[in-house]
Amino acid sequence: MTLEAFAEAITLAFGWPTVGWIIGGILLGIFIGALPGLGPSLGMAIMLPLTVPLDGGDAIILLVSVYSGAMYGGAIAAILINAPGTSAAAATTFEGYPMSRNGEAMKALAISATSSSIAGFFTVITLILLSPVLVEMVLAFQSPEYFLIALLGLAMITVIARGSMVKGITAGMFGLMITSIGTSTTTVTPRYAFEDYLGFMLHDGIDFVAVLIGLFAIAEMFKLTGEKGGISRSDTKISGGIVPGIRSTLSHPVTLVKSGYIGMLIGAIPGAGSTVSTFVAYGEAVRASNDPDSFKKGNEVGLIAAESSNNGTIGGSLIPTLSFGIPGSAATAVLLGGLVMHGLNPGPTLFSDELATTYSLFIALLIGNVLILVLGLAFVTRASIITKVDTDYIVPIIIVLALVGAYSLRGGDQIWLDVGTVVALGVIGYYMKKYDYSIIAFVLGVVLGGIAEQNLDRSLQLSDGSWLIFVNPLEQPLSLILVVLIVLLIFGPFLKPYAKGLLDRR
Amino acid sequence: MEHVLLLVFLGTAVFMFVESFTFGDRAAAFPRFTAGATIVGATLLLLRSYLPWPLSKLVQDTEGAFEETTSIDEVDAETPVDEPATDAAELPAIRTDEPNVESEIRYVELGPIWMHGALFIGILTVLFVVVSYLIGMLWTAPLFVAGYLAALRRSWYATVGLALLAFGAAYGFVAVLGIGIDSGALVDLGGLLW
Amino acid sequence: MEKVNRRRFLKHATVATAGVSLAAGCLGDDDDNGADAEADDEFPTDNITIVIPFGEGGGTDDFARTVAAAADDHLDVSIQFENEPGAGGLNGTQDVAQADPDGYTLVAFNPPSTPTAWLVQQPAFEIGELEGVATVGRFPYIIYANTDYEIEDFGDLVDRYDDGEFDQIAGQGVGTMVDVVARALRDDVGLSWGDYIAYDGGGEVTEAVMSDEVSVGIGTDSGALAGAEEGRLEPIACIPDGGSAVFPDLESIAEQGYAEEGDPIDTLAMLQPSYWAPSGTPNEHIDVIAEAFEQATEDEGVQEWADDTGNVVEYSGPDEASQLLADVLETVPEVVDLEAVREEAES
Repeated sequence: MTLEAFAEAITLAFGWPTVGWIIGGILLGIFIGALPGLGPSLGMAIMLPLTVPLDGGDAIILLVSVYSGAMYGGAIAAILINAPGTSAAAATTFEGYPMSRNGEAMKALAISATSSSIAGFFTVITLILLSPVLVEMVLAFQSPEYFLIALLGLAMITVIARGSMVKGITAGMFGLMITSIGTSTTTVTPRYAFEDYLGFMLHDGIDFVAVLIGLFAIAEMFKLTGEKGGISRSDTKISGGIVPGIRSTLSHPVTLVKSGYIGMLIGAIPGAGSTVSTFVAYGEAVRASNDPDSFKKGNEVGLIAAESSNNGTIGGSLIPTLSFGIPGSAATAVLLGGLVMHGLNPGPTLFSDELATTYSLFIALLIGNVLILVLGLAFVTRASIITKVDTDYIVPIIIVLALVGAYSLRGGDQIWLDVGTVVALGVIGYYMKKYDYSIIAFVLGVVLGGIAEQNLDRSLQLSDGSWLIFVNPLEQPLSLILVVLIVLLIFGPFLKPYAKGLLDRR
Repeated sequence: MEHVLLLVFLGTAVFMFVESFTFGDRAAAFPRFTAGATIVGATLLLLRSYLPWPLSKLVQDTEGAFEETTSIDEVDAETPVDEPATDAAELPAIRTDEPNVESEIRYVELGPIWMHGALFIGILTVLFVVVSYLIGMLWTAPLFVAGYLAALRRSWYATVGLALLAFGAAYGFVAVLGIGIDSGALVDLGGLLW
Repeated sequence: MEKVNRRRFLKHATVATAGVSLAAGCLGDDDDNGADAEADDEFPTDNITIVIPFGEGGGTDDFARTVAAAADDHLDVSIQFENEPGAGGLNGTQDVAQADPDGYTLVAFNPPSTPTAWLVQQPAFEIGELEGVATVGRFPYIIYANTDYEIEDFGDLVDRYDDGEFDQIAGQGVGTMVDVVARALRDDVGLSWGDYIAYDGGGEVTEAVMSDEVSVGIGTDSGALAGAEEGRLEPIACIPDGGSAVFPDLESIAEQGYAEEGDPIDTLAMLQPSYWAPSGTPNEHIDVIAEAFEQATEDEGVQEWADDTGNVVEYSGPDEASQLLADVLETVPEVVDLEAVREEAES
């Protein structure tokens, strides 16, 4: 079954037009990622409606290629003009930009391409090797565990939320609350549907993709227009050599492998996302170094760590997305939207029924990494051009694409509901950004609401209303572990000072 | 304006909380809980300057990131892109005098007034949607792009070129997905362009 | 858009349901309806829009798009799709029911599912007035169990429910077709389950049975294929008579002696993907489209798709489709206590 599916996946991924989608996706991803301020989530959100006519597998391959390309592309602007295209590329700026200023931009870009693609390559291979076990793992998760995993994702809000914890929780709860609009998922009661005025319009709820487009595309465009200096006009010259860059990357295999896996592991934690993983990998590189003082001044090892972890994150973040439908980052949230839109429901089916599709997705990522290496090394010199595109030219085009995309999501009277959602969430998202409310908390709420509600309701149905189903050590040991994790996650920050105090006394 | 945002949260949550009592128990549990939590959170944030300790500690802005990042010197966990739009936010959105050059905010000059860039694009976007509803998004898209670039005093060839690009992109959607953006409430081409 | 107070309508109209739907069914069956509208000599001259009243990528969507995309080749114009999900298919269906009856707007749904949702929810439009265009396939619901229990046949399963070994049964959401089928199995066939555990989609149901969260479940035959191939779940019986193309050896409940051929359960548990037009659409137009669908079902690509996915693609014409709708609207209220479904669905 597995080998068969693998063979089928290879023919799928290398067949036409699938290869075309991979190439197109990677190119588009690099382009979008390299534009300052635009990241993979925005690029994917805009592409999403366009994938409707595609076959499910091709659509996901295209999206994942955009994802992979954009993660790499983000590094280009980070290195050249200190403006990371993605939050995951923020750590790249620490060493990449100083290198550019030292006149080693070409070398830095070569390091970025080499370490991104190598780390991307081996983490995806690891993922392929793990996938037979993943099925068993996923089947061990039942309704109570699904609920708790969703809760764990939500609890991550308290960790990742910027601003105060209450802001993060409020944003997350507001997101969760919005998902209850429309026909109830537990019974078929219509909720907040205003049927007297709107008929069936709201029965299907607020479209999750429209929410994403609003929050990621429109809100960001509003913000860019309201800011001076969002446009980069740096005169950085691209210099240095390609070959020394490759050599430098290859001479630090330990950092490369370690950072790649750190990216993969942390990327796999729901809600943590790629930003955190790159900082952890970078921090680890600093810790392990004999010469920590050389960091932030153009240290190649730091750059390798940051770049290999951010592509390693892709493989990791796919694990919870594909197996539980729980995205680790904004980009995977959009990818999840694509999966669901094309009827590829996350869960064990993706590793049994749809195994070939899943494998072809991984293989597409491998092909993508090879492309990144080739394109990255061959065309990096020209990359500086896109980073100099005036954002004023980008903003109106992105808004047009976002709204036309929203228009095409659903039919009938839901068309203007979706367009309205995009604009409304754009405005709300703009103010949330402005006042430091976590957008990712809000998105997690919107994404996890349905999962949390249904699985909680079903768990209680299965247990005849007993909450013990979540903490029974004999029947549901996994649940108990998850509950403990969640409690630690939420109360950890409060308990830490006391624990530290105890240790110090000893 | 942060209060307006919080009041939007609060108002929606209160409505959803109250309305949930018209549903059966199973359907009501989830919205009631989340709306309740939103109400509590938004209320705490609204009243944050009047809160006694230790409640006030909860709503203080803190550095929220992983422990590891703070151990690295001067690591700023925030990307420049995600930086909030500064405290200059409280400046007027529309003004009649020429804004300070030093200001972080970009103002768009519209005849006698200067408008905050974000407000300008917000209004333009809403106009775009309304006019699209009337005459179809395909025709409105180039107008929107041209209007935006003209207000920002961009060169005429960039304005025309990008307007054409917007039309082309929108037409791409029509060609690929066959969506009806060539028609609006006032214009009905009945899928002539498919 | 018509403004209707559905709740009020629901309160006062429950008793009349069967009567209304019966009358509606007869109307739908009446071909003379179509003669009202003027038939143009040339049809079609414009593109045809098919509304799919479910989300993209679901079973209904797949079936409707695959066959209609092939029908596209046999028409001079192209076919466009619009997904209008919501309310168990009633959202999109209502829009088409109220659209211009010119043959340019159709809706795709699979009786008995959407008509049953209509009976349960009772919205203010008459689904029975829709004109049948074509029925293009069928797939049955089957009952399956986790392999570990080594259930021999349907009789064994009935016994184990009677003994209390099993109490729960898994299926798609409350108030959906699977729920109705499960009730019919309990009330008419004697499968005495106590708790119906609802899941969001067919995939989740098979997953629940594979992981033994619930030991027995109901779902489509093609949905159960992968799990059965992996040996994690075992089909016990095909619920309707007529058999499963996916599991050709699987005996139906009737063949195992627990129902009679032609029982209402046959109508309830066989989904039949079909296309419908608004009431008053000229017969000539319907015939043109129906012909294209007939040719589409014979297309090589479509048949290949059917083989790959385990679906049966089979054409029957406008009259049969209309008859099918009328049958469903008549049978369901007779077999199932709709009031009970409604009560649970609104709880």
